[in-house]
Amino acid sequence: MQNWKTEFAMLNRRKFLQTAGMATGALLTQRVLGQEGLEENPVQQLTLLHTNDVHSRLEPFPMDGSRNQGLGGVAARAEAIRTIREKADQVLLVDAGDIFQGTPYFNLYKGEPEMKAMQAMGYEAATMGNHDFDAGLENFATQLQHVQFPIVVGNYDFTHTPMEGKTRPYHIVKKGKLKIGLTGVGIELKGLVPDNLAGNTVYLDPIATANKWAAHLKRNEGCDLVVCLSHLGYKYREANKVSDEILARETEHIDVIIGGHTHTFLDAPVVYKNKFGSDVIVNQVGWAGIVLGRMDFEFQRNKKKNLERSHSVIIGKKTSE
Amino acid sequence: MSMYSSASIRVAVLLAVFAITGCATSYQPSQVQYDSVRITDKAPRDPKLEAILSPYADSVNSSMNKVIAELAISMEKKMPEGTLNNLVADALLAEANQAYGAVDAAFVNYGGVRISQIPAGPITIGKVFELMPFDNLLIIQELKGSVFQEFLNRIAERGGWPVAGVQFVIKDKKAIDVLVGGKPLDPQVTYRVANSDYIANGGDDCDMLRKLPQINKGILMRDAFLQYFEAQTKAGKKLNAELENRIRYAQ
Repeated sequence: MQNWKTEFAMLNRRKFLQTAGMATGALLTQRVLGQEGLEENPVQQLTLLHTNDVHSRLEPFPMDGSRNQGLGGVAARAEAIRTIREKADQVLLVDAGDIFQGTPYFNLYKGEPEMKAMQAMGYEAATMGNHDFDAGLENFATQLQHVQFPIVVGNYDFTHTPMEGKTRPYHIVKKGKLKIGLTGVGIELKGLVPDNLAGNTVYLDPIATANKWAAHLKRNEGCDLVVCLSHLGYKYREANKVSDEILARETEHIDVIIGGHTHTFLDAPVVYKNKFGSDVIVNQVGWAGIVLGRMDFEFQRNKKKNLERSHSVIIGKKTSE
Repeated sequence: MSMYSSASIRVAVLLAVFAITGCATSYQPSQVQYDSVRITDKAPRDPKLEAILSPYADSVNSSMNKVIAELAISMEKKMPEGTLNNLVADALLAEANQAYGAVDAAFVNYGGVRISQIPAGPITIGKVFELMPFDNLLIIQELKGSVFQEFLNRIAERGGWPVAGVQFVIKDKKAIDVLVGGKPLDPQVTYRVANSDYIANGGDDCDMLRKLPQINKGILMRDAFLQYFEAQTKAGKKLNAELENRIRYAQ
C-alpha cells in the first residue's frame, strides 16, 4: 500500500519534471536524468553490528554458577554474525575498544588470539580502549599484524611512540550506494593508564577532534552516515567529565556513537539532539561479548541535502525475522 | 602573470570540490531498528573460530584449570563494602605483612577487581587471573596521617574500595570517623600502607601518593592472592569473608 502510494507520487513528479524539462531546457533535463537514478534505488539498507569491551573473552564464561555463565565467546558470536550476513547484504561490523585484558588468554598471548578472531569475524574497524595499552604500545602495534582492519582514533597523538602511523583519524567504508564515514575517540589517559604504558602518547580534546573529522567526512567526503567509535564512556556522575552523552550534544555531524568503557548495557539506543537539533543515536552493549549490538538503518535518497537542517530518525525495536 | 591571488583560486577550487562532493551526498538515515543479539550457551558456534582458538585454548586450559581453593560462600564486589572486597583486601594485608612486615592497612582499587561475583565452590588459577588480570605489583608506602586521610577521602569520593586494617564512614564524599587498627587516625603518625603500584603511581586520580617512595619487592598482586588462597587451602580452610561495616555511608 505504502509502496504503491510512493510509486504513484514519484511517477507524477517525474511526469511534471519531464514536462518542465522540455519547456526550460538542458539544466532541468539533467535533473530529470538524476531523478531516474532515484527510482532504481530509492532506499538503501545498512546493518551496523557492534561490540565493545570484549576484554579477551574468547571463550564463553565458564559454567560455574556465576552470573554470566555460558554467555559470550567468539565462536558463537561469529556464527551469529555469519547468519546475519546471510540475510542482509550490507553489513558493517565494528568495535569500540578494550579488546584486550581480562582472561588468561591475554596474560599468556598478549592479544594475538583476540586479533585473529576479530579478523576472522570480519571486523572492519575498531578504536582503542585504555586496556589496549596494557601490554605496552609496542605489543599493540605488533598484534596489529594479525588484522587488516584499521584502528580509528583521532584524539591520541602517537608521534614518537611505537604506534606512530598505525592508526588513522577516520576511515571510509562503502556499502552498496552508501558511503559510511568512521571516526574514533579515546578516553583521557592521565590517572587511568600508567605513564610507562602511555609513553609519549598525547591526549587531544575528543569533542574538538571528533567534530573536526566528522565535518570532514560529511562535507568534504560526502558521507551519508558518520559513525564515531568512542571509548569515552556513556555518562558520569561528574557533570564535566566528557562522555558519549556530552559528545552527542556537542557534535555537529556525527549520526551514531558506538560507545564503550563504562560497560553499560543499554536496553535500547538512546537518541540525543546535536547542535543542529538533529538526532544522534548512542548505543553500548555492556562488555565481554555477551551481547552483539545490531542496528538496521534505512536510508532515503534526498536530492538536496542541507547539512545544517535538522532531521530526525524513526527508531524502533526490531521485530523477529 | 595571474590575475587571481592564490587564496582566491584556493577558494574557487574548494567551492568546486564542495559542489561536486556535496551533490554526491545523497542518502540520509530515516529509520533504525535495533536489536540486542544475546550470545548464549545454546547459540550455535562457528567451527572456523573454534579451530583458530583451539591451539591457544589447549595451553590456557592446561595451565589455568587447576583448582587452588574453595569459596565457603558466594561473594560479591560491592560499594561501599562487599564480601569479595574484604576477601581480596584481607589477602593483600596478610601477604604484605608476610613480605614487608608491620603493615597497617591494605587497599585494592575497586576497578582493579575484575569480577563482580564468584559463586561458592572451587576456584581455579584462571579465576584468580580474571579477578586480577593486571600485572600490578604489591608495594608499600609510608604515609603521614594527613596524606593517609587525603587518600581515604579519594576512596570515599569514589564510593568505597576493598580495605583491610581501616574502618570509616563516608559523608559528603569524605572519610570520617577513621580508625586504623582500631584507633583514630592521627595526622602526625606515619602509617605503612599496602597498595598496588598502579594506585601508588597516581592511578584512579590518587595524585597524593604519586611522589612518595615505594618499597617494592617485585611481587605481583595476583601472585599475592594465589599464595594466600593456596595457604588457606593448605591450612584446611575455605575462603571466607563477612560484612563488618569496614566502610559505610553516613545515615
